[in-house]
Amino acid sequence: MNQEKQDQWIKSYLLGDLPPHEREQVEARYFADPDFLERMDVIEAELIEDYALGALGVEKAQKVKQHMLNSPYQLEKLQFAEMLMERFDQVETVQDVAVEAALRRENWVANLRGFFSQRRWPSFVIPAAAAVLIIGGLIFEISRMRRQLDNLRLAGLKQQETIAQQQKQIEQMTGKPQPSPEERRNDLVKDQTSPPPTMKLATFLLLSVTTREVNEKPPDVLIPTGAAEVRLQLVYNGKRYSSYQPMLENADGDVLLPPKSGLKTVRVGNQSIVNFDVPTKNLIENRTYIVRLKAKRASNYEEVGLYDFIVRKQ
Amino acid sequence: MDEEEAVAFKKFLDYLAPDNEQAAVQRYEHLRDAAIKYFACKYFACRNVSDPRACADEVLRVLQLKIAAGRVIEHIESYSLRVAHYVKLRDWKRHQPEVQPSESEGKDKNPGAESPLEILEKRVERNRLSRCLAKCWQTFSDEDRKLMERYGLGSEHHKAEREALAAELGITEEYLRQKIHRLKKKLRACLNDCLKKISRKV
Repeated sequence: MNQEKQDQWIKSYLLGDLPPHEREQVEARYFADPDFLERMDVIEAELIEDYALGALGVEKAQKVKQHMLNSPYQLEKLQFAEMLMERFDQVETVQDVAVEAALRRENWVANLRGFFSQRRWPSFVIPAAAAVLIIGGLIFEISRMRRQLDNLRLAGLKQQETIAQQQKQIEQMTGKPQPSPEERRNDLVKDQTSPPPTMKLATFLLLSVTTREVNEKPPDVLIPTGAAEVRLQLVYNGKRYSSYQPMLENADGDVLLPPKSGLKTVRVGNQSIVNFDVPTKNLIENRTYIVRLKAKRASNYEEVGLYDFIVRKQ
Repeated sequence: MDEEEAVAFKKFLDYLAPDNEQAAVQRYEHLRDAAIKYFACKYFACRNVSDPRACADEVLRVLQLKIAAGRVIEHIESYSLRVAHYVKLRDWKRHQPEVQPSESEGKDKNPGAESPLEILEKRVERNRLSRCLAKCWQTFSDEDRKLMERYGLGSEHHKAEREALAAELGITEEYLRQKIHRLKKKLRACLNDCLKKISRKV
């Protein structure tokens, strides 16, 4: 049996695909042959890592879960793979950021050097020019921020007016007083302070809305009965950042969960994915939801991706 | 280990490789690893209730007793497999009621629901793991750390990078795969030791 066939044989054994007589052959082999046992270890570790990376198909992933992750001893291996995954991702992100910063620094210094080396300047000109540049930059930045703040205030006032008008209309139609936005926010926060459920039963891959045709409807997220949480895997292929923050909103733009900061991407093949766990109690059937993916840039989070989906329940 | 057990262990090592303690220990470790693998796979497992390591130690204990009692075993590896099978059946019978709940019992229980205490315990556990991993990571040389990082995880990823890495090191990809596996195994062993030490302190 060649190496490739042997690997496949081992994989089938680990995934529970072999008939009984062949299982016995594999057992006899690994009891007798230390090299074969080590080979099994390698393949088992890779399968568990692939599972942790989300790189297996649904059927294979289920088999791994069912046959290979059924005891605390085996779960220790999965935990180890997950910890390594986090560690390697962190290392890579730090390296990416360092390389980008170094490149930026190099370009900036090279440009500056080029500019000043072209001609001879009197000694006072350089500090004076630097001071003018800094002060000018500061004034420009402050005025820009003021304008932004004014716009935000204006938008906030308009939004408040609209909400008040809509509330009045609802009260007129139903005859019942409606809770204020503040009260509604408090209700949401109250809901979210209960301990989070951790049973992840459903995983869905979401592509950014920009990858869809204009008339194409958002994808369905089918939640199985009894699932306490869904894992949304947000496919993100843009520039890499040190940390991500997904925000779940309903179609009205209400933020439904407190923002989860500090998430990292996980690589799956050529794709990068941000895993976002959402308790199913926050999702209502047949409603459309939006996930805004934000990335940390300097000290702020900026939107880098938009995803939407419709909830269906089984 | 009492005196009788120590004598049985010594006899067993002698049996595995007379006059060569190192070879005997290696063969002993292999038998233990093989037995762990046997119990760790679901359809032969101790049905989720026993630790595969404990089951494997039980296999070795039985083997030692047999050898100490003067039993002549021609092929120790295949005999170990038979003992493992016997231990599995015994263990399975012992724990059968616990692992095969009736359907209605299964429905009543909610395996996903965790108490706040359990959640807290998990966080503490994770924190310990992170600390230990950071500590163990530092015990590796720069070269080995970079090698593990560049190789990455999983079976199919970074194929080009892995090819380049093997070429740089002048080894085959298969050998590189094995080397990485041994490094990760060493890291896991360090992690387990570290966790044991912490739990002893607590």
